Amino acid sequence: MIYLKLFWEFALIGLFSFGGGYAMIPMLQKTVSEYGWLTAEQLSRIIVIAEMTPGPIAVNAATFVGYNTGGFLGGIVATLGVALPSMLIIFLVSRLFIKYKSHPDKIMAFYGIRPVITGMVIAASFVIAKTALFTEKTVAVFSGLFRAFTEDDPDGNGVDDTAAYPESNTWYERTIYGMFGIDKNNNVFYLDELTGNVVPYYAHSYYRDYLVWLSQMLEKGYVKTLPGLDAAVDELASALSTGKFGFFNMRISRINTNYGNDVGTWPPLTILENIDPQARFVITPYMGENGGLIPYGYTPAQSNRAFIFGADVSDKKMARILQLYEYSCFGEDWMRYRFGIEGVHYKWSGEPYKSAMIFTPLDKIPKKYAGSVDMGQFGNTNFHIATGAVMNYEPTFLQWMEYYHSRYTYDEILLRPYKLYDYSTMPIEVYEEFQKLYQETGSQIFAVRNDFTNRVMKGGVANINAEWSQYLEQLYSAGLEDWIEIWNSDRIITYSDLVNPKS
Amino acid sequence: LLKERKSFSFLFELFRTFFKIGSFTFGGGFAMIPLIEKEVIDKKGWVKKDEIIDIFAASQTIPGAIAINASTFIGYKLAGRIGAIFATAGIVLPSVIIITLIASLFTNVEINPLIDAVFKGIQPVIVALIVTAAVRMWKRTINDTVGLLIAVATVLLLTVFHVNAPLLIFSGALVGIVIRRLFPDKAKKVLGKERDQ
Repeated sequence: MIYLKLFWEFALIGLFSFGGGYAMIPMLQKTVSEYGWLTAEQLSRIIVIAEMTPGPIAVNAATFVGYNTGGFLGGIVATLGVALPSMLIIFLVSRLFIKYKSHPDKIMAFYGIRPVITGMVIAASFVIAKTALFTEKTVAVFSGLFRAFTEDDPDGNGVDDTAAYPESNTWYERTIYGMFGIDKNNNVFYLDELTGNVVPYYAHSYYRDYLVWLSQMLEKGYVKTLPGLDAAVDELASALSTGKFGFFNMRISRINTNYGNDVGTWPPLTILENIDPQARFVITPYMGENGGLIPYGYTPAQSNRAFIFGADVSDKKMARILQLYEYSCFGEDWMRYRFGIEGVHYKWSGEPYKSAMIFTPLDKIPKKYAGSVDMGQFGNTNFHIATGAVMNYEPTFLQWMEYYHSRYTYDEILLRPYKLYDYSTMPIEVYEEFQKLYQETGSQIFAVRNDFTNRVMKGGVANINAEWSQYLEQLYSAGLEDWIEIWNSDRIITYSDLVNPKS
Repeated sequence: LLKERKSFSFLFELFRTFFKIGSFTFGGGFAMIPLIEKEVIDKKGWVKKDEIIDIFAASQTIPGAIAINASTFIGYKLAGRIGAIFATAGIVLPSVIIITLIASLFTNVEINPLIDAVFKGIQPVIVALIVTAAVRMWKRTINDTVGLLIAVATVLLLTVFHVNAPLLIFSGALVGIVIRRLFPDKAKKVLGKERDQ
């Protein structure tokens, strides 16, 4: 029965879609959702795969949907369905074609049609060139190189192409943490699903995964420890001046001021134009004004933060990383960007900055003021582009934002804490209670964390997984237990309740 | 000739050729045009240069996938219905095999980074191939001012106004037929030229 349905539906698609594979997609969408064969997301993935694999897109899509719905036979049946109408029509048309072969009207008609076909091929090459040479290529360059970062000499040239970055306890690698699902931010707390406790990032199993990754990268030499900020900049600049490296999010002005124009553009043409096959991507900290590092942080005043990249970065993860970058803007618009407009997006329950924030539910925010996101990030792409000059964004960064805004929804890429240490999530007395506790026991807890992390970085922990529970015990006895008591309680609302208030 | 072409060895050759085309074209119908030209005209000499454009024209006028239509047309022209079936089977089978493999291996339909990278590397090549095909077609089809105007108008209508393909083809045919009625001298020239070839 399912086979008959598949055959029939795909025959209809074959019969009624003019203009080839891409023209079939709308019909395909309608059919699969009508029968509940696939979700929209599954279908869009299938279309991507259909484009990526050889052969006609229509056939690829039919086989895929058929296989997913009715197994091997389903794939065959759907493919037959999509091909059959074409064949039957051609059997009919071809006869006429042969019969009127030398009719003057037929000859004149094709005289008019041929230039149309040429025009179509030219137009198709425009369209394909547009996607292939701009967005996709840029993505390919970046994602390919990011991936290359953690593989063992992926290009097989026998040389370690990756550049070093400094790593110490004052240099924060937010984006790498992001890839492991956590943000290295003391204001952010996560739910440990094993224990049910609400813990800081360094007591979460994601941090363990990060440490395992880090020790592997150190062992392979892809992550290096460097003496400090100035030495790191020197080393980076000398690498960049070869023109073989791109660098991510380091402010060109910062590099250029100190090192002159021999340190090229961002990213270097050698990479964008693929002139030099040896050209590599380099991973750098994100430099702000006056040599400070720009945070992904809660307040613009935080400094000494760096972004670095590594690990096996899928496009999705990449998008998430970029999402993190978005936070790194600051300036006069920061407050509005972060929380929206007072009275529209939120209002204070009492004295400004000293009381909790009451957020307007997203669906009640006037369309005019609604961003595409939650939690006060009301800066959508247009906002960023408009303020790009003020914010001193790299043009390529804006290009990136446009790319991921066009592809991903925030839901897919947003890294959400479970609970957030902020005046918007708790009464002011709880805020102050934790602040006090933090001042009392924070240093002991951080000492345990730093000690363990440093041991990992020096190669002193043979089996991180095995020592993890011991490390947790140390954290708890250093005072984390008291923290957790506060964070487990419902006096602090969850981030998702903050974002989507229950009415 | 048709009888000879219905021999099994010819049908197998037809299948093999289209199987090859189906295996190496990424990006669907238009991307297939350069490969079909190379295999069917240059290598095998099965179809003449002028005929292939008429086949592509017809393939886009009727519903269905362009690649299937074109292979069915060519197969039918060479060896009748059985030829059409063999050619179409050839072009479809690589897809069926590859997609079935992918679908059975990656249950979550995750996009393999390797495939992803390969595809992205291939794209600029596809652009080069299509541009080459466009240039070749241009040389063959644009012989006079009328052709030039039609081609330019088509590019504009497609890229700027997104007019659909069958309508454009129909309009092209109409232009030809109208020329025959309104400008008999011009039509005579065109018809004469076609007969000479």
